[in-house]
Amino acid sequence: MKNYLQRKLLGMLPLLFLVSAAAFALVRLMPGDAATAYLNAMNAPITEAALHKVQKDLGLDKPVVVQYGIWLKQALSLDFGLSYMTKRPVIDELMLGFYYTAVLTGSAVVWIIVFSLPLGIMAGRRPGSFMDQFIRAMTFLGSSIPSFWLGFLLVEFFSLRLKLLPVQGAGTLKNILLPSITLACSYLAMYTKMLRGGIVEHSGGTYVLYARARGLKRRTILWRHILPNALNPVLTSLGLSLGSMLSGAVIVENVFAWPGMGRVIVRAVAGRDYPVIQGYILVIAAVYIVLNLGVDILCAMLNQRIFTEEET
Amino acid sequence: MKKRKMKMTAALLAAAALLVSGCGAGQTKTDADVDRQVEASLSAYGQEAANVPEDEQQAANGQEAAGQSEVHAEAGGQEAAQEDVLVLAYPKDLGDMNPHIMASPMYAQDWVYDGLTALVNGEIVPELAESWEISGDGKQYSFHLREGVKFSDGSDLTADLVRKNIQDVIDNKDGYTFLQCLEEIESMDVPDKTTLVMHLAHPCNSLLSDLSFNRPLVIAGEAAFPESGNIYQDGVKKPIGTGMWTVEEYVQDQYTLFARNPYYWGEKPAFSYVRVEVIPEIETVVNALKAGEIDMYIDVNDGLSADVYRELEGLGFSVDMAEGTQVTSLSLNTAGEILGDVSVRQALSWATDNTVISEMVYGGLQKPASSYFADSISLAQTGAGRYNYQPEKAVWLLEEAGWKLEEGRDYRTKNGAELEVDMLYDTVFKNGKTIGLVLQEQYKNVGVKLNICEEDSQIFRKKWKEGDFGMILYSSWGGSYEPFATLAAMRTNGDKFSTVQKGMENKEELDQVMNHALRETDEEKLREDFAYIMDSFFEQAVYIPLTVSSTLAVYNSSLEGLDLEGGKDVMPVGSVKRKQ
Repeated sequence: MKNYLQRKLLGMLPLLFLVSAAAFALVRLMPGDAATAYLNAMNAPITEAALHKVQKDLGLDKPVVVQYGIWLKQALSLDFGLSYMTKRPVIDELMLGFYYTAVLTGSAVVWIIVFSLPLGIMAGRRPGSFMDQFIRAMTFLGSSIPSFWLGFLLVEFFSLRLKLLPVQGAGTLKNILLPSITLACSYLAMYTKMLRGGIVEHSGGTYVLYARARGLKRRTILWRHILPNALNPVLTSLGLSLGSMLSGAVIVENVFAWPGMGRVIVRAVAGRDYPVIQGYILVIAAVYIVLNLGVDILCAMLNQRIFTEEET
Repeated sequence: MKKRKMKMTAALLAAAALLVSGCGAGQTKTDADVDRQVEASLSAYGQEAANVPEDEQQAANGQEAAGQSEVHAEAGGQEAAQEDVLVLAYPKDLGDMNPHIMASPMYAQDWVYDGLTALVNGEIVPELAESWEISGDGKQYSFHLREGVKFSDGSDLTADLVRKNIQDVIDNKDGYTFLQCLEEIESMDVPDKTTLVMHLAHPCNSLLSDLSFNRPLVIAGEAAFPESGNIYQDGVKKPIGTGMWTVEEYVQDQYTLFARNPYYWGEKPAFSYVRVEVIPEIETVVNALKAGEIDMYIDVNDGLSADVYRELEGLGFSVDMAEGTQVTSLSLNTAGEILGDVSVRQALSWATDNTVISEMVYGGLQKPASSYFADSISLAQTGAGRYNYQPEKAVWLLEEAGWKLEEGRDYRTKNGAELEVDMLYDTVFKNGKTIGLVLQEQYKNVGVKLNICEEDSQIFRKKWKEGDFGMILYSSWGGSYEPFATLAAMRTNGDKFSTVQKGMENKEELDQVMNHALRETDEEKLREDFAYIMDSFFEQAVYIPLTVSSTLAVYNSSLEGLDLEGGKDVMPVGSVKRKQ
């Protein structure tokens, strides 16, 4: 277990290094440059002299490799520099939105767990039954509805007709419900389907047959043998989805005026705010990697063979 | 079976509890986080929890101050004070409220800061300057400040401070080539506490209108200046102004709570607080209006469509509309490969039917424009010719210019090349695509192919400046910027406004006339200059005017008093009150 964790943690370092280099390079490949964007934001005329001055002030006149080295050195101590536009520390800009996006994503994950687990089990236990057909139909519907449309539908029903929940904002507990359900919907459908498939697949396995032969109860076979195996791909996939939920929540955030990372990054991209964009990519990548590590550990705990195979 | 069901129910309940506790924890954190943000934001602004000592408030405003502090205590919680808070929505965050740069929303800078003059109904009127005298040669302006004006922190407005603010902008004048007055002000004297004398190098027609802009020549209090004394470059320390409102609470990307400035020199607003929610999507704004979460929406960004405006009116919301001064037009690249030919430009002008755009795109809420400048700009009403919709003239001109329509083809060709023009617009221009589609159809009728090109703001400006476009779809600045600031930009070599005119036959002479117009004090000669400018624009078909902007407002029917036309502010909510 210790060796397993050590290997996983060490494997993160080169990955983060590669991400940082890619983030740095990609941002500079974007059309338009930071110095021009800066002058535009200041409403200053874009003359050669002005560009030269801004490039010098922002450190953009140095060779790209030197710029990268300076940035990486600072980033190692979580100092991503100052935003070109707001002159505030990048980490402050990011954390402001990150907190709200994390709350939104976390709540969506809770919805996913609460609903996809029982629905997947109900559908998978009796394939072909009415319940299975119904749940499958709902999952098709859930995964086909565009999130922004679902968001507006939910607002129309719960906020405007029933007047139960607020339309927008992030001030109260009620504010989180509609955005998190909207964000969760398509993932919920996907995981219900995935779990159902896993249960159906594993129910026909020989180990299930032997378990029955040993006289184990159906419930015990389901919870102790089938479910841990069926959950493995679901958890792995959920780990991957968490990253995309964090970065893809922007549409839902816009619909509900939720002050998450979406606004920060859209503003940064529009203003070619290099430090903020780089910091954003790196933070999202780090979260993505950490979440996946967490999921790997969880899978390994559910299935001890993973540890054993890794050890050998 | 029963047991299984019970287990399932228990599992669901446990998960629901987890959700609630998760949310609850999140909420506790949210509130704490919001508090932290408010603290951080206010400390970033250097604001204390209450920026005016209560005894000072009472001394200044008697009962009102006490009432205000009472509301203040509850404003964050926004419970009991609901009645005294007007809630609006705006698509963008407040930003840093630097009075000397143009990054924060105009409405907020309007509310917090004042200038020496203001523009009301097209007229320059006194604001912080109660009166002024202009010397006979037009090179000396003496401004007399209002007596007893205080900033929102209780400090006095002095002529010294006015000079300090204007000097900060002059020191950074490279950022404002369109403000002719910054070039002309040679020195400023302060003979006494309430008098400021400006000495100019040449007469400057635009001085009074330049001073009426809601940025950058507005006056911030001493507490706003950083140690360097350079607000423009080093940012504002506190958003302290003499305006009707002051920033009470700010949570980035969520909302700003403006409180009534207890020291405001003008008529006090009816509401004690205005809360502006940041809502980027117009659909969300409409839903928030319907749900009663916001009281009012004033559309200054072309976001509200005519359909929605009329739907809300039908639902019982009060609506209001005022004609604006911004004109949406097409700027044709006079130095472009195809549009460099004046015949093609004239042909496109004859082929454009802006009444269709007015009706189809704006549902009649924006009227067709007749020139690059709005009709309210009297100097620009010179009687210059206009291109009315006559597609047959367009066809004739194109034929004459050698662009032939071969049988079986949709578009004209010349020397094997197709007649196609790129229409470039900024992605933030909401109706760009729709306008493009209407024009595409109209130009196709005369055999011209229009390519609709949407670009993000950075690329849009870059291409415009570098002349990498066929035509630009854009709304003019309007307000105090017209006509002089626009002329100043047009005559500045290298400015994107000048790039459009680069290929005009008389560009050199036109620049001289524009320069002259900026300094000419004799009205008759000034009108002659404008006649030349407007005739040049017409004859060389540089601009195709489309529509004149309008400001729309939709609000809860329990409100009254909104005056979109009579106020100097972009969002004039000072006169708004709840019906008795």
